[in-house]
Amino acid sequence: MKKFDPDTHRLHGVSIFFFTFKFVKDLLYPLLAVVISTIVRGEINLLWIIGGVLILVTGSAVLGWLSWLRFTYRISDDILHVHHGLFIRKKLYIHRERVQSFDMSAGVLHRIFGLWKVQIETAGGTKPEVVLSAISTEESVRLREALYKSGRRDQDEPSVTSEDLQSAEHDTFGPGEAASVNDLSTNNERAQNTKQQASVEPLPSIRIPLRTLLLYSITSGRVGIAIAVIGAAYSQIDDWLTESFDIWNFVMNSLGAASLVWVAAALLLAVWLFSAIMTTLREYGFTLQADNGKLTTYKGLLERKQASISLKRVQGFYFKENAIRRLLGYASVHVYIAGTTEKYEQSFLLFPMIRKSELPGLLEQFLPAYQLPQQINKLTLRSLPSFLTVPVVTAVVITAAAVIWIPDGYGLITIALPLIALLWGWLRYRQTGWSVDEDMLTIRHGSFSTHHSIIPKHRVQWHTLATTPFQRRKKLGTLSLAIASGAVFVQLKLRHLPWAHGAKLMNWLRRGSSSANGQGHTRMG
Amino acid sequence: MVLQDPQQRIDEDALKAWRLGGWISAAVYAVIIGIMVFLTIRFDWPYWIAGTALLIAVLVALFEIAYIPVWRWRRFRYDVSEHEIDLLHGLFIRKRTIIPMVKIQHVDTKQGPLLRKYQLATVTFSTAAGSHEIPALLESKAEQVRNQIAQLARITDEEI
Repeated sequence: MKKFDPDTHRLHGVSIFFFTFKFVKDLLYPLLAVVISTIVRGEINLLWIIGGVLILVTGSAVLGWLSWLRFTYRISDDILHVHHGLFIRKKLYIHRERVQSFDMSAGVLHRIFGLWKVQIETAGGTKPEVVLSAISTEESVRLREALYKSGRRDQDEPSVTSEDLQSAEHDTFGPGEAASVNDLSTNNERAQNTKQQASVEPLPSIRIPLRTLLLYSITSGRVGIAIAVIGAAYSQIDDWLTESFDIWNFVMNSLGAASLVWVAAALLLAVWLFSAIMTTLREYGFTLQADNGKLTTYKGLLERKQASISLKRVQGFYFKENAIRRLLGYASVHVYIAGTTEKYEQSFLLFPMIRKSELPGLLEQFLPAYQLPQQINKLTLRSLPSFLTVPVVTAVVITAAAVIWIPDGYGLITIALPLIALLWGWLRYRQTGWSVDEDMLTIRHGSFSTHHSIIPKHRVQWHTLATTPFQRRKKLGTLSLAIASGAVFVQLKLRHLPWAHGAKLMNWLRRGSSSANGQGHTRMG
Repeated sequence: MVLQDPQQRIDEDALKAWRLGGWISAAVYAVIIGIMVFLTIRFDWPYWIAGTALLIAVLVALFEIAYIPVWRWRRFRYDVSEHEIDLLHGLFIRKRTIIPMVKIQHVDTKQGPLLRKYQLATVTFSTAAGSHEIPALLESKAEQVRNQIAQLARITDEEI
C-alpha cells in the first residue's frame, strides 16, 4: 500500500460488519445448497455444517475487513475520489457539479455508533454511484458541505444534519396538537441561535406532528379501506341476521363460515395494524426543509433517513386524497422528480399528510413556482357512457358466467360486481377534470381517491391526443402527457374529454404557440 | 379550434418492406402449423387444435400482409418544425403526438435487414420520457431528418 495521504479517509470500522454481511449474504445460497444436498443424501454431519458456517463467517469477515481497508475516499478540488474493490480495483471520480442527490440514512446499528450511510447519485445510471456504508456525523456534514451545498459555500450555514435530527426526535414527545404550519422553523431558530447569525433568513421548514402522522398511518393503504368495508358489511349482516333469520346462523355454523369470517377479519386487522405501525416508524418526525433550491426531508424513528432533491429537477407535483382522508380534509403531496432512483420510487414524498386548507401556504414556501388551480373544468354527460361501457360490460359478463357456472346459487354473490363497476365508472367520470392557470396545467383523475397533478407546461416531455373509433363517433378523445419521473416516466391521462377541448389543450401545450404568432399551426375557432 | 394534421408521409417502399415482414411471419406460422399437423397425425391429437391454429394463422397473416401495412402507411404522417416534431400514428387508436424540440435528448437512425433491402431507415428520437420514431424513410431522407432534428434540438439547453 502506498503512503497514506492525510486527506484520504476510510469508512468507520462498523463498515467492516456491513461488508462482511454482504459477503455472507452472497455466499448464503451456495452454502444452503450444500447443506440441503447433504440432508437429502441423508448424510447429516453436524461437524461439517458447523465447520462450513464457521469458515463462511470467518472468511467473510476477513474479506469484509480487506474490503474496508481497500475502500478509501478523499475530496480535492471539488472532486470526490473513491478507491475501492477487493479483486477488481475501482476508482471513481465525481465532480461536485455532477452530484444530483446526497441522501443519508441511519439504521439501528448506525444509530448506536452515531453514524450515517451516505448515498451519492449523479444524473445517469439506475443506482447510487457511491455508497458510503458508515461514516461519522461530522464526516457526513463535511462531505455534504463539500459536495452538495448549493451556491453559497459559507461555513456558517446551519448544519441541519446532526443537531436538528436529534432535536426533532425530542420535540415530538411534546404536545402533538400544534397545527403543523405553526410548528414552522422551530428547528431553524435553534440552529440560527446556536450559530448567532441573525442576518440569514430562517429556512422554511415544517414538521408533521405525530398526531397527524398517526392519522396518516391508519388511513394509508387499501387494507384499511378493506377492513372498513368488511366491518361495515359484517355489522349490517349481523344485525340483519340476528333480527330476522335463524336460518342464516344455522348455515354459517354448519359451514364454519362464521368463524372463517372472524379469522379473516382478525387477520386483516393484524395486517392493517402492522402496516400502520411500520408506516409510523418510517415517517416518524417527518420534517421538510427548503434550502436554497433544494428540498430536504428528514424522517424515521428506528431508521433515520435524510433525502434531498433539487428544485431544478422537479417536474410537477400531485396531491392525493383517498376516500377517508378526503372526508377528514387531508391530502398527501408528492413531487415528480426527474432522474432520481430514490428507493426506486417514482415520486418524492413531500408531505405525507397535511390539511388541504394549508396547501396554498405550503406551496408558497416550498414550491414557490407552483400554484393551485382556480377552477376545475369538468366533463359533460356526453363522456359518461365511455366511462361506463367497458367496466360494466366486463362485470356483467363475469357475473353472467358466475351465475351460470357456479352451483348452489353462490354465483349470485357476483351480482354486486356490475353495481361496483357502475359506481367505479361513474366516479371516474366525476373525478376527471382539468384546469389551465397561466403556465400550469392541472389534471384531476381518480375513482374512490382523488388525484390532482399540477404540471408546468414546459415540463411536459410529449403529449398525445388519442381517439378510438368509439371516441371518434362521439367526438371525444384521450389526452396524455408524459412526465419524466424517477428513472422512467408517467403518463397523465385525461380520458374521454371532448375532442375540441383536447385539441385546444394540445395547441396550448405547443412551443412557440404561446408567443401568439401561432406559426400558422393554430387557428382560433 | 383546429388541430391541423401533419402533412409529410413516409416512403411508399415501406409497404414493400412491411409486406415482406408479413410474409416472413407467415412462413414462421406455416412451420409451426406444419409441426402441429405432424403431431396431430403422429399422436392422434384432435383435429380442431391444428384447425383452429391454421385458421388464426391464415387470418393473422392476411392482416399482416394485406391490410396492416396499408393502414399503417396511410395513417402515418409527420412534420418536423423548428419547435416540435409532430406525429400522427396508430392503427385503431388514432394518436396525435407532439414532441417539443427542446425535450429531445438524442436522435438516431436505425435500419434492420428488411429496411436495408429497400434502402429505408427509421429515425428514432428519445426524450426523458421514452422515445418515438418515424419509420421507413428513404435513407437519404432519414439522414436529412436526423440531422435536422439534431441541429434544432441542439440550439436550446433547457433543463429536463
